[in-house]
Amino acid sequence: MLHYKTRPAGRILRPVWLALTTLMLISGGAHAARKDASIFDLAFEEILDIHIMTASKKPEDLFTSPASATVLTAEDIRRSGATSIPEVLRMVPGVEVARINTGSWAVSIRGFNNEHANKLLVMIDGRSTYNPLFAGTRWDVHDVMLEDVDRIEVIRGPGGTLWGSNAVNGIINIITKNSRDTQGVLATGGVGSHEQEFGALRYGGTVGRSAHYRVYAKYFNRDDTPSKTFSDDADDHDHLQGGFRLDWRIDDANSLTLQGDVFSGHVGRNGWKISRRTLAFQDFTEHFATRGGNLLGRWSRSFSETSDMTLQIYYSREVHKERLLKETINTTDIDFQHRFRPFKSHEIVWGLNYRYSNDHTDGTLVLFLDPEDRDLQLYSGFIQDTITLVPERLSVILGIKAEHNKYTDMEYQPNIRIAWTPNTENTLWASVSRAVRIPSRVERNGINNIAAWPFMLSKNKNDIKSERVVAYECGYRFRPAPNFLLDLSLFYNRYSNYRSQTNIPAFFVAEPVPHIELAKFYDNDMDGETYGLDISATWDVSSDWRLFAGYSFIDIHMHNATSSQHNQREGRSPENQVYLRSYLNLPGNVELDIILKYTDNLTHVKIHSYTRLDVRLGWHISRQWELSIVGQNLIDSGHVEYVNRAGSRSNEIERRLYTKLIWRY
Amino acid sequence: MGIIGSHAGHGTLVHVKCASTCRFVQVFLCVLLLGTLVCGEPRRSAAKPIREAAEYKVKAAYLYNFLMFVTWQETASKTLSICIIGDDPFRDYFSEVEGKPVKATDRHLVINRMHSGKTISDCIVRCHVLFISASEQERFADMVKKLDHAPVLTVSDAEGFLESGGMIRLLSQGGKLRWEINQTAVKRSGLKVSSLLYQSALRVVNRP
Repeated sequence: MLHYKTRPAGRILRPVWLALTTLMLISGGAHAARKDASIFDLAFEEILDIHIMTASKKPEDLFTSPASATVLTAEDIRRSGATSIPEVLRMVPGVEVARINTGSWAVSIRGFNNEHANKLLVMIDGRSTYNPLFAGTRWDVHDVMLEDVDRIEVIRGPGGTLWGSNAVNGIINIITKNSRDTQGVLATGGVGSHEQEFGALRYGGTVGRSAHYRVYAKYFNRDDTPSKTFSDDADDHDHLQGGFRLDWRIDDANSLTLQGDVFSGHVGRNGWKISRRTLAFQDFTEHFATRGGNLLGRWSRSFSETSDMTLQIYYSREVHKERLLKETINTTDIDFQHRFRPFKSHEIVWGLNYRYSNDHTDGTLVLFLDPEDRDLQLYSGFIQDTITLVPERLSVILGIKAEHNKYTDMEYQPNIRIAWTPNTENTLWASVSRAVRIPSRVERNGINNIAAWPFMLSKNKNDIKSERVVAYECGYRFRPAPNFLLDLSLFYNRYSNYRSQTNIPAFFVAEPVPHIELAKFYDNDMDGETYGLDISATWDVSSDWRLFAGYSFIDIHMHNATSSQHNQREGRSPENQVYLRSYLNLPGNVELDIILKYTDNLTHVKIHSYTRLDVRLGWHISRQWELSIVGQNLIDSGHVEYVNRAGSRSNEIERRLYTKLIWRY
Repeated sequence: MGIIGSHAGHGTLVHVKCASTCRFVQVFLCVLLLGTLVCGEPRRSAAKPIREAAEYKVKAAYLYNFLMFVTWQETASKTLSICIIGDDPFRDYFSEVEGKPVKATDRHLVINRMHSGKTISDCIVRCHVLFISASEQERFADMVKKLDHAPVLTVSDAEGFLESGGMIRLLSQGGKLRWEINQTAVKRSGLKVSSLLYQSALRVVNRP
């Protein structure tokens, strides 16, 4: 009935909104023609945040960079109304974000999305979040205080030359603010239908004259979501995190950063286990504990305008006490980089990296690792030369990384990029790059039971090799006026040695209990290609109104394996995604922010297409106080965004509402 | 809200796509329009997202804000003045605030553009904030020396300004404007400067 009613309404509305659109464009034009709002009315803190428009500063660097990239600013993040990193990433073209349940997301770039999406590298302040056991990022443990994030850089396409293995299809770089820019007190708190209660407290101060610091703590408690498969909804998630950052400018040439975080959380989850008594599958509910932390030190020294070096050391620890597989991962990483200009037209960056990680696991009949504990060492070196052929017009980048790992020995990841900026309005770029994804521990050493007794055991073959990609990309950026930017990129990726699965005929085994063994092995027998495009436009209609529109398309074709495996790889990413965003300032210090996103269906896991509408209404009551009300997923009452397997663990993402109060002093 | 409410199943896959895309666009535009109509004549608000501005526009805003962070001993004057000596890079940036009361005070803003030939005693009498243009680089030390002990906040964006005894040097870092401050010079002038200017400075130096 509803359906019947809405269609005519849409038809009647069409001419109306066409007329109104025209009106909007006209009024928008009028806004643009108006003189810019006065800079003299801003609070001093706001002036500190303004970027200077000059020919060679950062926004320009992005404009002329020979890669497909999007940068989210602190303002973009604040106004999105998002409360976690993956939710923020929803608005970036080309990034696939699907929430599986309260504590887990599938996040990927350019295809192959999965809970453990293994071709995306996520870094937080130079620290890798890549989980060597499952591959990919476990989003239930990686969090930051979003108010302290300076920017999030999203690079679509391979970045192996600079970032190393696993940066196959993209890199997400989360960069927090220098503590000089987070002075004073900031307190936030809120309640909501899903974000049941949350809050954060940060204090920034100075030590002596040249050092600044901040300390923070944050907490959230998120509600469970209705599950279609289990009778018990148990995926609620709480998380407590604290940390600090110290930035010390020792003298003109040297600066030191020391930062760290600790966290502890509880993640609710439904799962299946195999009963040790009956050897049959049973479902269960658990709230497993997560714990961990990290400590990072970075020393930067500049020798001259064109030469500097950075030495960074970090330690991180991640513990998941999940019933299925308890895991503890410790990582120590040392990184050195040096930039210099041996000749006027060459800028060379080179670096060395060493990473040591050791893990300890405690598995169950459903999944265990053999051996249970393992150390892994990675060492690598890279060199990249940026050659200026015509100053400020034409440049070429040549680079290569050589990396050694325990599983597959030496891996080489070269790239070549070219950027042509004929004038300040246009940039054309193209690149060819190669990247690899090294095997995870589970792929190498995992044994999991896919069925209950008497059919049991499936072993992963332990010589799976690295997956490889060669990516051909090109792009175009057009900025006819300072308030308008069009960004287009096209890609064609060829994958080889892609992970495939071989099932061998069942056979009988008498030990330890008599059973029929159904073994499957991982192989590298698949290959394939993907192609697609990302296009976006940003338009500052006036100083009070920013509009953003984007569209992403991807087509995935895999070969040389059974068709069900093709479907698995091909049908987990949306072919089409559409993004619309509007940030509007209303009279009375009120902000109205709207994000609309369309996500195409996922054929393999039978997820229907859906449209999300998020609306944020913010009010700056005074210099100190800010109140906001955020509605998320307003269009439908609930939809499923992702499931790991067709028919498994499907949780509905419902319509959500929360309110948040911020106090700055 | 019929257009938003429906989530009923549609016929074929193609149908679903079209219908939901159309609705998608409709909803977006309608909400936008509502916004536009409501804010037909937007007023100034404290939360303007100015993200980028010309270099000297930002510098002008800094000089203007410095007036609020410094306390001058004499209170008789009904004006606060910013002087610019040497080549004037500020174009007409100050025009919208010139002659009007300075925010949070009842004193009116005066902009004095001074020729480099002007005597220093002129500056002492007429300036609260003195911006010394990079064109005067060779005369920095001399000028600053003559201003010794005078209640004038000296600002420049030229290199070596603090080393010559100047108080605040503006410089850009990471695409944003920042400053360095010379505590000795400020103390010598007897000006009372808000601690914020020290706390948020890139560098605090003590150069005689």
